[in-house]
Amino acid sequence: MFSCGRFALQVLLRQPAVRSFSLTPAQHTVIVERWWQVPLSKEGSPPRLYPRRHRVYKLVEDTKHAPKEKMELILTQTVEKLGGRGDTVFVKKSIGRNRLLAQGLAVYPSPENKQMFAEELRLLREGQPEQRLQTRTGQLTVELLKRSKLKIIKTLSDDFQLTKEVVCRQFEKKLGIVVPPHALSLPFEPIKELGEYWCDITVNGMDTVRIPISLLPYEDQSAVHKKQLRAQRKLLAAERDSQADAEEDDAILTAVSEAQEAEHV
Amino acid sequence: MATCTRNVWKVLSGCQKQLLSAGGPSYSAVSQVAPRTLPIRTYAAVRARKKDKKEEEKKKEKEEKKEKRIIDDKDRPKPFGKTAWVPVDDVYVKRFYARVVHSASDSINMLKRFQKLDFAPADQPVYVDLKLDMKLEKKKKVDPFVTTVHLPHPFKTEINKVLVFTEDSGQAKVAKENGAAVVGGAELIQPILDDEISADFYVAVPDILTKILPLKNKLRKKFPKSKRGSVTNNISQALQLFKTGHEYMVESDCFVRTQIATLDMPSEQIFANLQVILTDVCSHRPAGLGPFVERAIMSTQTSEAVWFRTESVLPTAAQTDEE
Repeated sequence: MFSCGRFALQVLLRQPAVRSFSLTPAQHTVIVERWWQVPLSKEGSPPRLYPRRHRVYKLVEDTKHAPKEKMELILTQTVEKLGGRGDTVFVKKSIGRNRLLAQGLAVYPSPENKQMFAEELRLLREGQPEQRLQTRTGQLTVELLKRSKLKIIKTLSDDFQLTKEVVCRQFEKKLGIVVPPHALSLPFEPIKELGEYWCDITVNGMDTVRIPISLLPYEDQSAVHKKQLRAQRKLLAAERDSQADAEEDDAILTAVSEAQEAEHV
Repeated sequence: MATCTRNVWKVLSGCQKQLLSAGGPSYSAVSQVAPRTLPIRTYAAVRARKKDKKEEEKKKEKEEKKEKRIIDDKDRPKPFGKTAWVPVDDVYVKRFYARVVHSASDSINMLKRFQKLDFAPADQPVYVDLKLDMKLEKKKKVDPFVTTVHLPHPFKTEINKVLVFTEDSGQAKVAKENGAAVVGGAELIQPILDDEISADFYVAVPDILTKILPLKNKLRKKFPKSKRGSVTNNISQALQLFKTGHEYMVESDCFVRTQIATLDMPSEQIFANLQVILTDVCSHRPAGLGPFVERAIMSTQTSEAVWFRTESVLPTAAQTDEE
């Protein structure tokens, strides 16, 4: 005889016909509760169960209807859209188990693993250059620095000179890259004349990039002056266009007159 | 041949259309209906605007989109659109990490360092930019206010021009002694309306207020108000306040942008000025509703903006709790 609870449980555990052939069956936990109380047994002896009574269950919760929580993992390699080695990420359980953990791209954040990555981070900051591993962000910064060039505009003050601090500040202002003084090496200190120079930046104590610096003459950077320059440039462009048109007209006229002469002759 | 037949069909259909659209008595063999009198309109009716609903919907969508863009970053493991809260490397690109908010004293020192490294002039002004949370309980809002503050370390070289409205000659003498620029009664109304006389501040005695009402539209925010302290009988005190006071106002509903000091003053003086202004700003809303200042920025004429925290600057709340 089916009691309602048992029936419900069987229906729930049956695989629905909608899922496709290749997917595994939904393996979510169903939390059930006994309908009838199990009476207390004597001390030391196990409870006595009668299957007809005590295998009647009622549903408490089906976890596949609960919102899916994300799982926390620590990456071991650079994974696109997630991060680099040592980053703690929150991903869906399906992606975490089937892709990241299965292919060895990430590990569980157990205390041992967390200690290992903390150790790596400590070595990056304090250890010898041989022991360090370049981070993904460090690698990207190196790529960016290889493509960049610093242009400094000389100011009108008398004691203008380029030192490490000044160059670090210019990097932050112009290129948006924060460079601590110990990572920058400026061979021609101090620079006072206009011209082309270079400097070396060491990222994480491992990779060094040479960046060209050019010291340009003074230019008024205010918005009013820039507007004037733009207006002047427009005028010049308009004049050049009108001159070009006039030359074209002259050329056409000369061609027409030559053709007429040729006809007459 | 084909073109002939096509043209014949076109002519026939054209004739049919003409006959049908003739309107008045139709001479086709089929219909012998009595002549119908169709309405003849000699005017053009304006088409009713059915597009209003669509326009309203579009406007509502735009407003909703603008409101939804506030992204709350505090609970996330990393801020939206950035790589991390704090950078791991020593050399990093600033725009991939969360914005750094410094303490007030640190930001003053940073601005001084920037001035030296950029070879900028030392006596440039220091500005502060505050965004305020103007909401009170139950859909009420704080009015945009204009106040005058007495700074402990003033940076202004000139004294403000103060105009005193008073009929009493004794009060007029007191005003002149204390350094009012112009003193007078109802006879000053005409010159002010004609723009011959103008001043930074206007002080009035309570008796004259009714006579000065025509100037309200002219003076607008500067009109004497008892809340601001410009309507008193104690003229000397009012003059002391307004001669050396620094005035600031709330622009665009929630922003306060003023100069607080110059960069060649010592850091303690700049900090003291900042403290006075912040306490004055926060006095316009009861402290129980939470922080009034949403974000605070300090900058000079030549440097970039430096975001700083106002909690360390405001001394009142912590001290009153301890007491």
